[in-house]
Amino acid sequence: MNDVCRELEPMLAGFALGALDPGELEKVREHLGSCPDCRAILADYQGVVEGLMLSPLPVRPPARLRKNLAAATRPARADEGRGWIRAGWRIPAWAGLAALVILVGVNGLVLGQTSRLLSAQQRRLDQLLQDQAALSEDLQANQTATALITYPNSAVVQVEGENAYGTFVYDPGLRVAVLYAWGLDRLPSDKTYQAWLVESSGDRTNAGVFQVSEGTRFTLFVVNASSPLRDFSGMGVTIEPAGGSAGPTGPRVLAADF
Amino acid sequence: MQNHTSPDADIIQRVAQADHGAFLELYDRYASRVYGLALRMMGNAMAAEDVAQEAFLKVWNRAGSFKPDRGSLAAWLLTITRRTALDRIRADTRRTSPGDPFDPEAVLLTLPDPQTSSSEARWRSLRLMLTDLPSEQAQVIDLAFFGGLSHSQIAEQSQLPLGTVKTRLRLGMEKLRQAWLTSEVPDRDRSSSLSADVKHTRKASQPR
Repeated sequence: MNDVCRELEPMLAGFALGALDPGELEKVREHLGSCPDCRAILADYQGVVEGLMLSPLPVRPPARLRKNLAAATRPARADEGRGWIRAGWRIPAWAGLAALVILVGVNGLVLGQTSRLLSAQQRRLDQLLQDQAALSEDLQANQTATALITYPNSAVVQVEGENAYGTFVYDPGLRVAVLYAWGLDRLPSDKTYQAWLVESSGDRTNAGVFQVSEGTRFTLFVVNASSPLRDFSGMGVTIEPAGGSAGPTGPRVLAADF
Repeated sequence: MQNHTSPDADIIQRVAQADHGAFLELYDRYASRVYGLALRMMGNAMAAEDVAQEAFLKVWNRAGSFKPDRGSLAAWLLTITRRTALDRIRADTRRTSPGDPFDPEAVLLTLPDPQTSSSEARWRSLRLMLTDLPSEQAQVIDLAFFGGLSHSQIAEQSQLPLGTVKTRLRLGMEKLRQAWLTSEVPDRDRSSSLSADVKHTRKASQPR
């Protein structure tokens, strides 16, 4: 690695992301043509970029997209366009005018009906999009949890309470952790569960609020901490007013020491 | 690993020969990924649909330029989708492009070698590291990658010094790169990691 590499290597991340401004872009591109070391580093960044492209959750597109694409790419048939009109039929002028008048009348009726239908469809679409967003969020949490469980340095501690229990999975060097809890009751709408991380000074840091859904056996909650988990000595869960509190005020239902 | 006899290579070869059925097969396989990426970048369903449609039509028209030995079909398709979305975003905001205009051949040249393509374990680690990035680093990566902004455009939009933007982007990407390089996860039994009846919760607030 030479002086030029040392100057340009910090730009490779920006190059892979397409974030370089024109002057830098030309310099890096020219250098890459003659530097295998920098090309190797760039290949790693491009692996990351490929991962970034896969990071948005898959979302099923509307059915009309497939239909449109199928129509646009369907091969033309030899007999296409040879309808009855081309087969020698002729429409008299009076018949055309009458048909036009009827069509205008029918259109008015159909438009009114269509407008109502579209309105109902729009409401349904909005609801479906909301449902999809909620499912996406669930899936996101699920994937994060799965990733953490399979992470090489992850640790697991038992969390315990009077009527509930579970596990807390974390990596001391990361700021993300997962709480699995069994036995938590559903709360009334004016209450919420709130997770806390315990600092070495004993202070509690808010780690997010969550609710318990109905009809499933355990709760998964992804904790995003303000600093790496090694900075904390334990965690707990309390019942707080809806929206959460600045510090624990309600009964503690789960606790664990790291 | 990708090779000429893989299902993807077979499909794209048939698409290149204007095989309508193969094109729909390719669509069914990747539509959710393509649309998910487009939706993430465009932020609304109609625009995402337009982008996805344009991307698939580009694939239909230029499938012959895909070379399986240069990268995976998924990466090629998603790169085309991203570039299409960026073109739309830039046209809407009348921004100049910091990078290249769309060119499928150029796309191929920027794809990683198939041997460095993401395995499941690597992707999980990368995803975890993405979640764990400090928000200021994640934000600049997000603006560059999904918003198509250059360093100077991010600095202007975020009202941050240019050097700060470059540093944050580089540090964030370096962490992701390290996660990418060091993420060979031992093969554990993952079957018990999560069950279908997991009770999901909503995060109403998250300290960062």
